Amino acid sequence: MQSVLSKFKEAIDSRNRAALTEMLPLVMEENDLGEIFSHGVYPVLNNAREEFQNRRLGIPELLLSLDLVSTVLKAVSKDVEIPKRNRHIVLGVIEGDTHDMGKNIIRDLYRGYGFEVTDLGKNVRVSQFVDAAVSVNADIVGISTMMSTTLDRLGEVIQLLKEKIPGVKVIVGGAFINQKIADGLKADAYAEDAATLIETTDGLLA
Amino acid sequence: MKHMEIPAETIDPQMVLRNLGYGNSSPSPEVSDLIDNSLQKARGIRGIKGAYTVKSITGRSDSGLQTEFGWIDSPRFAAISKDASELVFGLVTAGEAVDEKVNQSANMIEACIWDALGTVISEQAVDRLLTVITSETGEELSMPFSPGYCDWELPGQRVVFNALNPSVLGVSYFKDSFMMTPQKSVSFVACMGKGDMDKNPCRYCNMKKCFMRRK
Ligand code: B12
Repeated sequence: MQSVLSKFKEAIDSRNRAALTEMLPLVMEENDLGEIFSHGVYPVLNNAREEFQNRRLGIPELLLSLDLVSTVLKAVSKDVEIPKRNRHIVLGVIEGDTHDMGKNIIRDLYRGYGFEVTDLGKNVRVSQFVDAAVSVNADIVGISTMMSTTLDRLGEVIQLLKEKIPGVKVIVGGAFINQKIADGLKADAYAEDAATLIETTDGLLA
Repeated sequence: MKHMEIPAETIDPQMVLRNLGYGNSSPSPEVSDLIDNSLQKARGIRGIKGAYTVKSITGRSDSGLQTEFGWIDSPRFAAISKDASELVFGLVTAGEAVDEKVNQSANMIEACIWDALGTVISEQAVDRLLTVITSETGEELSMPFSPGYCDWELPGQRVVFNALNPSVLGVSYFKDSFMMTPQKSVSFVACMGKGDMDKNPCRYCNMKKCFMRRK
């Protein structure tokens, strides 16, 4: 007979909210919560990201999966140790740029994987990034931009963050950014898209 | 400068799907319904606008073109326009209504769908404007070439904004970054002439892995 956990995985995989709602209390009763995430939620999400990268899955389906995962996360008590809980990321689109769809996808992905995210929105000033990172004691600051004309400002945020919060890591991304540009800005990491985001971020925290 | 309202009736569903990441796949039935629903609404959107003006090239070298509105700093565009004597400066916007739809969406999925619709509306508006210009002037046009693409740096927006008055279309822009509002707006130049013109901008772009790249 199919185990409760595998039925639960299937519900997320097929993006079936009704089945998920039904299975959630059962799976929580029978399984260790850490196990739910490492054997249930994350493998399904990893697969969804891969499918998205290979263009076999559209953005809406990826977002639907993330939405289901957020339902699971909400159901799990705040005190429970989930792998990435208590890791805080401050995220925003740099000043001069109002294109935030990419940043919003990244935000939902991070949340789906259990990270705490403070979303500063778009057109975010240098000082706002720094103030927010100080106030939540961020582990990581993620900066998004679509326009090459914002690069100087991006460099400014990174420099200031490093001065004010030793140890903070900065990850950058957005349409025209690549590893070379990220290196030039002295960012700690660059992720091209959803497919590499989580592994790159984990690398920063290791 | 001529400006006009552009209808949205002809939004191409395939382009919307491509923008939503469906390369080798189709949306699930649930998502398909959501897309169809927004597509219907989008076809009724008003406020999509375009403007253009035709001006002569006043000087040229291998590294760019001189116009009365400023220097177009692009060796690639200089090469494309080697036989042209006139340029079209163009600007289109999908308008504020699309931005509002994205921002007021109930959830991220709906927002993404409206975002893709807005992108397609603005790209098709460029095509539509080029067709209008061709029929109004009786001249052939090259591909549209936009500041920020290829070897023309984004501050080249200044030249297009000097040539056209963006505020007539309700378009404003950030002074330093040149990002335009509404979000789904596109500025460009194209060269005019007789006979065949190169129509594929992607041939000149270095983003080889871009999901929107045309063959
Ligand atoms: C669709 C598109 C448009 C649309 C919509 C744009 C919009 N703002 O909504 C339209 C047609 C309107 C458009 C217009 C313009 N565009 Co355009 N556009 C694109 C295109 C094809 C895709 C962008 C997109 O929406 N992607 C989908 C979203 C979801 O992805 P994303 O934002 O990139 O985010 C993903 C990753 O980047 C990453 N990511 C994003 N943020 C972050 C943050 C972190 C921390 C991390 C880790 C990762 C990460 O993960 C996300 C999810 O996978 C890109 C080329 C490309 N392939 O990227 C050019 C591109 C962004 N455009 C470009 C340009 C130049 C313009 C214009 C200036 C052209 C012009 N002169 O009119 C205008 C500007 C518009 C404005 N408002 O000012 C250039 C920018 C280059 C530069 N010099 O800066 C690009 C790169 C194209 C190119 N070939 O050079 N554009």
